[in-house]
Amino acid sequence: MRSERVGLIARKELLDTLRDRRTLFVALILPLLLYPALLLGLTQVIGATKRNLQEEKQRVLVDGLDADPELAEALEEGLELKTLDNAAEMRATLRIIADSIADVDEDTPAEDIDEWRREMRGTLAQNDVVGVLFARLEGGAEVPAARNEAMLLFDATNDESRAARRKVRAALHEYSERERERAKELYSDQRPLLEFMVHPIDVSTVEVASSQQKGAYSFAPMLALLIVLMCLTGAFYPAVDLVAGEKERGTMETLLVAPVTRTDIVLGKFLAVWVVAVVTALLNLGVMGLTFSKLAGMMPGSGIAFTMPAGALAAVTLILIPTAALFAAVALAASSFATSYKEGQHYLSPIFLVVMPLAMVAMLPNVELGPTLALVPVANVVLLVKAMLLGGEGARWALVAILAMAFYAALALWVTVSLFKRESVLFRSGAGKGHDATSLEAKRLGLPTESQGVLVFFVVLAFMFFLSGGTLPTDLWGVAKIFLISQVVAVLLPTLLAARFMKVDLKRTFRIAPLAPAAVPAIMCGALSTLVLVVGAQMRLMPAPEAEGFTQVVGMLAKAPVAVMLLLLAVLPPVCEELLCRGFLLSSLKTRFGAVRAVALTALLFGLLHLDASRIPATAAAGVVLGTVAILTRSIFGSILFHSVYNAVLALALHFPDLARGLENLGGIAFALAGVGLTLSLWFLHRLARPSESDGDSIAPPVP
Amino acid sequence: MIVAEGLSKIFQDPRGGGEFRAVDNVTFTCEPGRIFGLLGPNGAGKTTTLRILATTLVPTEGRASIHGHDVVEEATLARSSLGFCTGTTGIYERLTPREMVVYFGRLYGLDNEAVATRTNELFDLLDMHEFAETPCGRLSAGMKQKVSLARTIVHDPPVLIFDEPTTSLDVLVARTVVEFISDCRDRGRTVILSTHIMSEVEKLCDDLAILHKGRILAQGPVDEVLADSPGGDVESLFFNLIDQCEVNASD
Repeated sequence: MRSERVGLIARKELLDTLRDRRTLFVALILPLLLYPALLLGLTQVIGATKRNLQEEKQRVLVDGLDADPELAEALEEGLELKTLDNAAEMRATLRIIADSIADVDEDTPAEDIDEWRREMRGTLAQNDVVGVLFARLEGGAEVPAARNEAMLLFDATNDESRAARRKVRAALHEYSERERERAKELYSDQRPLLEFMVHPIDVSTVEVASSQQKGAYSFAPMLALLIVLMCLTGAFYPAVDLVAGEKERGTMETLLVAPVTRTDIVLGKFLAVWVVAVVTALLNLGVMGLTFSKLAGMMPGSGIAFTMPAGALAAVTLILIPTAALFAAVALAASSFATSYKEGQHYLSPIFLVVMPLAMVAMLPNVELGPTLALVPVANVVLLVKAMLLGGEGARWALVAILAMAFYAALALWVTVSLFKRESVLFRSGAGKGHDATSLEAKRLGLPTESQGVLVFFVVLAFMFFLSGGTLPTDLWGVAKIFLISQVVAVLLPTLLAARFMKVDLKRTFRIAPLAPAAVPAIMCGALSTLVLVVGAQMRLMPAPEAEGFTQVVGMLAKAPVAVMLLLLAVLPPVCEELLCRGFLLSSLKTRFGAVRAVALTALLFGLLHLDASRIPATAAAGVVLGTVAILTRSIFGSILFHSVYNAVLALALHFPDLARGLENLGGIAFALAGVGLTLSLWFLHRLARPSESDGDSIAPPVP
Repeated sequence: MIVAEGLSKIFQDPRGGGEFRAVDNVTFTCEPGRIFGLLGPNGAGKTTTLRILATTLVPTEGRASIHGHDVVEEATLARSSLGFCTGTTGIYERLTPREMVVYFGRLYGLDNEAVATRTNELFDLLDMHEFAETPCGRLSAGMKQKVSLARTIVHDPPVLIFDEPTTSLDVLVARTVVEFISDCRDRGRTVILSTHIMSEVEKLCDDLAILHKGRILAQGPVDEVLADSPGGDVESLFFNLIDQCEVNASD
């Protein structure tokens, strides 16, 4: 039977595919873990930088509204109206230009029109407005033969100007409707006259954007997005061939026995991939530029043209060079994990998953390159490309963006070089995975490895993401449910399951060890001091904007019984978060990176775990102290106590407004005292830890 | 000269969480002008041992030196004194034999002129001129192996490592390789050769170590080692040792 054979083959192929664990992980599981992390990051960044154009008031130059204060009022709701003394004069000039544009025919040279438009744009910029509304109102409905006119000057390639134009049009529309209604009432017995009332106002719009600008506005986002993706693919495939392909073909070993260092090899490969990526990006830039200009030319009457000015070309090239370097390094790092070309190709999807949303920022309206976005890799590239083609404020941040990309590229290259020095990465095939000393050490001690730690962190992040959201709680039980779910289900459960599944030594991993009674007062003093320092710094440096839901939850907690509130804030999160961060994560990172770097990394992850970019510095700072306490006391109870005291004071501040005010208005003396308090506490804990220092982090030498 | 002292290499066991000693306390010395044979079944630890000598793997315990250079401390110097050829060391299919050999000659520090002379010498020696400009991807297995051999000795190293060099070659090509290896000995090089083919050992080796599950079961000059053999040949010695080893293990 044919169908039976087909089914047989299909079953075997499925089995084969499912056995390819690494590919499955990369193609199916990794995205599941990455999506939430990405989305969270992106919404944070864009949320912080995207301006709400509907709520913001754009400045528009107006003239001739005196006759109808009601219209002016309607406009003022969404706009800032600016009037000028010499309005009449300017109006006359602009009118002439606008009329010439309106009257153009096929014989009018395009340069003339663009020149006129440039002049108008200049006037707009001079007056610091995004649009102009000139009205001539002879009278409302009560003047039957009045000729009312409105002339709008707006820039279709400027998002602010477009928003303002929408608002002006809406107001004018409202005005027309109003006058029409009034006319109906006024002349209900004289029907014929209504004829005159049908057009209470004639609106004409003059576009001040040049054909060039319109072309850039239409094509720049696509060009920016494509150029980044092309640069990535340009780097990726050669990288996979030069690393995974070499391993597959057996030439990697040939190269490794030559008297060159691994760094030489990575740098050589990196240079080659970089060159290919730069050339790919520049070729694509050139071809796309030509295609778009041809496309614009093929649409006569659209008033669109597309060329790339030399300055823009130079800036785009300048940022593409570090971009290509970043992609080259990342692609080399990724492909070093693959054993074959085929496997290496699968690694493109997670990279794409990270790069794509960042590059998609190009498509978002009214997101401009600014001090924050200039630091976000890839997003800064597309925004710079856009800014260079469109002009605008963003171009001012070009240098920051270029330097940021150069920094990321250098960082990625450094990581890649260190990756290549690991045996397990170079010999993925063969009898067993080469295991370096640190991972073996971790295994022997029954601790998780650093990659297991990072994996668990991402799983927790994914859980938090998928379990969060939903409707805002309406009662205390709703609030309690949020805490229980986010702490127990999202943080504690994956951590414990992972520990069980990875067969780590629970006592060692989670630092379950008695806490010296003498440490208790020191920890409490340290927690209070840290709180004062962190809250004080947060208040002064970057007050966190409070989210809608957050305020509501806080309001309800403040009204809850103190015991319940303390349970939800000062017991539940400290226990769950400490077991994850100072337990599993810190243990997993410590063997590889050493105590100091592990504490710093854990603190950073701890900050990220709070899903709020504005709170990362404060949480991470507290995390550093928490990690130090965990290391010094060698007990998870040390950091849980610390965390509890810290959270308890914050919780009580909700309940007792006086305490909150006190925390908000701390002075210099309080900071000084807190600094001394923290130093003394840590010093005391250090002293306390010393006597049995020889056996390391409370871990007796293992019996192999 | 190759010296290995107490070499061990621990991997993570692919079948579980435990560790796996691929090489376990291996000690031996290879003298110049002699061929040292490393005989063992698949998975005995031959390749791992040779990779440690070639500096591509770092030993978990013990130390080794190539031509007086420590493989960990002076890895680059050790590599310069070393030619490494395996049945699986690939060649660049998109390069021609000449480009391939010149590339490695330059990596080993020869200048352009020296490398051109040396390439021609090697092509004479191995009779490779005919296909010197054909991309390696289009060559037959025998031609490819010649490219590999030329690549191995382009810098004329004092120490040579051959890891199962005749695996997957037909008899004709295998004979070229065997002749090539014995020629290296005749020119005073230190040669170490791993194989699971008994006849190769008898034909080529001066010294012998039998490796099983990462440990050396017997070693010494071939005739001395064979003196203990019940049948007087490598094969019966080999099975005898492995049987003993299994019996010991089950006790």
